[in-house]
Amino acid sequence: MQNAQLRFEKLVNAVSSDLYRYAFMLCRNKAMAEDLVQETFLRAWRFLDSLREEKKAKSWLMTTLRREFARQFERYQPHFDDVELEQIAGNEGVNPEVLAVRKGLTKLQDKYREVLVLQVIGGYTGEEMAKMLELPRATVNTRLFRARQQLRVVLEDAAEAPVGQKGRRT
Amino acid sequence: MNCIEFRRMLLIDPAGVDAEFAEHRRACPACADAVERSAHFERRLREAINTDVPENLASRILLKQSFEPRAARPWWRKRRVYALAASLLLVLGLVGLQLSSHVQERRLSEEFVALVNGAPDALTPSKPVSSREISATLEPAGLDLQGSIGNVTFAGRCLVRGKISGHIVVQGETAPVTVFLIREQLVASRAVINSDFYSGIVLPQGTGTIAIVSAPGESLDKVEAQVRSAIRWAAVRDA
Repeated sequence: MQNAQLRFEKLVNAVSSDLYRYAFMLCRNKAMAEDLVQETFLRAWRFLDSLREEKKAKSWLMTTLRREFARQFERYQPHFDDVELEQIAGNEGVNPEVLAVRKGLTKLQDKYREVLVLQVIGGYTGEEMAKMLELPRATVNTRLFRARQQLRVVLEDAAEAPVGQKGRRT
Repeated sequence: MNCIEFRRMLLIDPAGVDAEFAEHRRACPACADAVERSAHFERRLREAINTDVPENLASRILLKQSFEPRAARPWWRKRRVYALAASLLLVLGLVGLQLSSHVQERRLSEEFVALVNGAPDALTPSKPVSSREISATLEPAGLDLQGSIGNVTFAGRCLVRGKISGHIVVQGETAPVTVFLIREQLVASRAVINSDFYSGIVLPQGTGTIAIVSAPGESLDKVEAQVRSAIRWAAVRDA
């Protein structure tokens, strides 16, 4: 039991931040993101015996959280148009280019944002994401391509925009 | 790899650099610049995604977990249970196999003894049966006689488990020896027939079975050797 507790604590310390960020990128709501993370970890605690390797455990947590989000999303659909990621993600003192990318992330279609976030946060390969998302590898690649393509335009616009207009495309 | 493929890879997986990618980067200054721009973008992207995490998130997760009983591992997932179940199954299987094998042998033994008892006339001493008569008698049972099997005083046919089988009696040293020849393998290995008044053996022979039954104490080795060398299983001609 003590061994299990220790293992669980290590898992929480190692993965909870990334899992929260992933949740936040999915739902763009701090409270809901934390609830999702809590619920996901409680499930992990119940099934800890099956989570031996850290990398696999992280994938399991991400997949579980994604499913839980999909389940909750059926009942509760936040109005994302009313919520600006750049306003709630902790933007004080943040580089304007980063703010522009953050705003760009809110404008991305969910399916594009998700693969990008998984790749950046989880460090997953295309093959791993294809398995996690139950998608063909080519689809994952296309989504990554389009996500970056769109965000890079946002970043370039931000870099070119005059002071005071950064992050806003004319 | 050309420039288009290189730029595409840069947008799909900028961290997944392979040898071909690296080679193109060395050879193409424009694409090398694209990598620099990409690195800048990736830094910004990472910062954008790395949003603030609520303070004490991990502590709150652990606090909530502390009130949550951990589900017992399902019994069927436990390795020890698996191992124990496997061992039990193995033991039961072996015991069952032995019992089943033992029961089958006993039943077979009883069947042959019953057959011997059911044809007392066959054991009555009489004049020898010629090889030609033996062959003619055994042929419908799918048996081909290719040599002598001793002093045969009876040659007939009977049904063993629904199969027309050969039934011959050879005079042994002290008592008549009954031989049943069945064109089907009823035993996997040699088995002993034991009853109050008879003893004998059942053995597989090719695709068939030979059963030899006699009075206790009668030597069966010679008859067995003769039968095994003389009998061949022929084409199926069931009635």
